[in-house]
Amino acid sequence: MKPAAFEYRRPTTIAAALDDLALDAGARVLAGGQSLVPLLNLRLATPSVLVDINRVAGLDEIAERDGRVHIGATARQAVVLSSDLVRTRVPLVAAALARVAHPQVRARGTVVGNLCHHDPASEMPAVALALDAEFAVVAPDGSPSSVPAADFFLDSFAVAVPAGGLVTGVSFPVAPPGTGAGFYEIARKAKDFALIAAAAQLTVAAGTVTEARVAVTGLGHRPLRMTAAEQSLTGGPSTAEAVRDAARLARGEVLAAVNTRSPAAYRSRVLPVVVCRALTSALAQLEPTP
Amino acid sequence: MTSAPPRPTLIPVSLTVNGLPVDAAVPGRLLLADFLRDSLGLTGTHVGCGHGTCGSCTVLVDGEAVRSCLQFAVQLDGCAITTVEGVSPDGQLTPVQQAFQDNHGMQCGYCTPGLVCSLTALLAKDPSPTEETIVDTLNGHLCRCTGYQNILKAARQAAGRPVEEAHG
Ligand SMILES: Cc1cc2nc3c(=O)[nH]c(=O)nc-3n(C[C@H](O)[C@H](O)[C@H](O)COP(=O)(O)OP(=O)(O)OC[C@H]3O[C@@H](n4cnc5c(N)ncnc54)[C@H](O)[C@@H]3O)c2cc1C
Repeated sequence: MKPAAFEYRRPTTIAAALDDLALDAGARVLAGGQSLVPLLNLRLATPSVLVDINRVAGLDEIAERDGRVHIGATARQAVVLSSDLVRTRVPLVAAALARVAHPQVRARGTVVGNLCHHDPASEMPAVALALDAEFAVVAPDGSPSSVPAADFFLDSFAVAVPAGGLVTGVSFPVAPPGTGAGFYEIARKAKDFALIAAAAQLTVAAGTVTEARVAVTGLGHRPLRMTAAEQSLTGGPSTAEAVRDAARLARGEVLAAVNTRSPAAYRSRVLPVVVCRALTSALAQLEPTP
Repeated sequence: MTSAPPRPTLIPVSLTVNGLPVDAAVPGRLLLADFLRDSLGLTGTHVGCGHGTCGSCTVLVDGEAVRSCLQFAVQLDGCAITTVEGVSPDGQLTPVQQAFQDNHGMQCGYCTPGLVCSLTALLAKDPSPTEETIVDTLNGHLCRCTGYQNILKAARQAAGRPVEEAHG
């Protein structure tokens, strides 16, 4: 299996990357290559120009700023996963990333590339949506904008990045004190893409839930926020019973087309269970450890 | 009259392969796996699925195990590559290789070079990994002979763990 010929570009600045992307309408960004190169090898994608951003200076940051953890476009999944900052400040990111692919793939794959690829069975889009991640998008003319996760995921394999533009990083809000994070996934084998998965984060003060965030991947062409479940928890007690009641409110349109390996009826059936388990593990993190 | 197809643009790369400097000019689309096998004759790197699923083509890039079918040779400019031919510079079996032999951690042997590279990278970073870390690493490889139990035993031996893990 050989990719079709393309023109290879390796810019070292964002401005040069934009120039290279402007060479042709068929130009595409190459990050870790762990989703794109399989498509090239299978000739499911035949871009005319590949713009390798791996040597663009300053894109590999993992840093806390203004109450958010910023992850640059070339920060590898393996590095993000082993970062103490990520594990302690945005624990939901680490919990979900541990379920993405294998160490050999995470050594190259990037968090941003994973989110830009937006496979509907991918874990991280649910986390991005649940946490209200912000994407730093640069338009072809170089103008920057910040796109909230709720507007970023448009459709399976489609995100809100203009043609010829690129994402320079993504940021997640630091978890407030008293926060527990839980991720629960059903997959056919360990570290495979999700059939369905839920990301949950609970913040509790004096036994009362002050903030609940829940989103699910694998239902349709975009991750879905479980607003009714969130509302039912917020302001109430942080108990297993409240979590069970909230999980029963998990709703969303389940499309057959997004996952041929798992019927829509199955995913509808397990949706509340998956939400309940993600919330339960978030709750368990809040329990004082003996 | 038909015009000749355009000649591919060749891009210079300088890298180190198994400790030796290599300078080459490659087309952008040349995969690292094909560069190693076809340009350098290092056929110990096996290509199984060709799209990242099986792990047979795993090599070390700057000490990290990666799939050589998902990288272009041109991207490795300035990097140090180690293939299965290079894990044991002195011609002796490394503890990982010895463990595969002792535990018969192979059947047809197709997936073995990739596994040896992955475990070599793991143990260089983490000489005493947990069972979970070992399994996480092995998960990145397919063995179509399904010889997984002996591969797991070999990995445990190389990691200095009991080869037969107690159940429960
Ligand atoms: C064996 C295997 C198992 C896997 N398992 C999982 C899994 O369980 N869950 C999961 O979610 N993923 C999985 N993946 C995919 C993996 O996580 C990829 O690393 C990830 O999806 C893509 O990230 P990348 O950096 O490799 O991006 P690339 O492959 O380089 O790019 C992916 C796409 O995003 C675009 N892109 C990348 N970066 C940018 C940017 N900065 N701006 C604009 N566009 C950009 C590219 O143009 C391309 O279209 C698996 C991959 C393999 C090979």
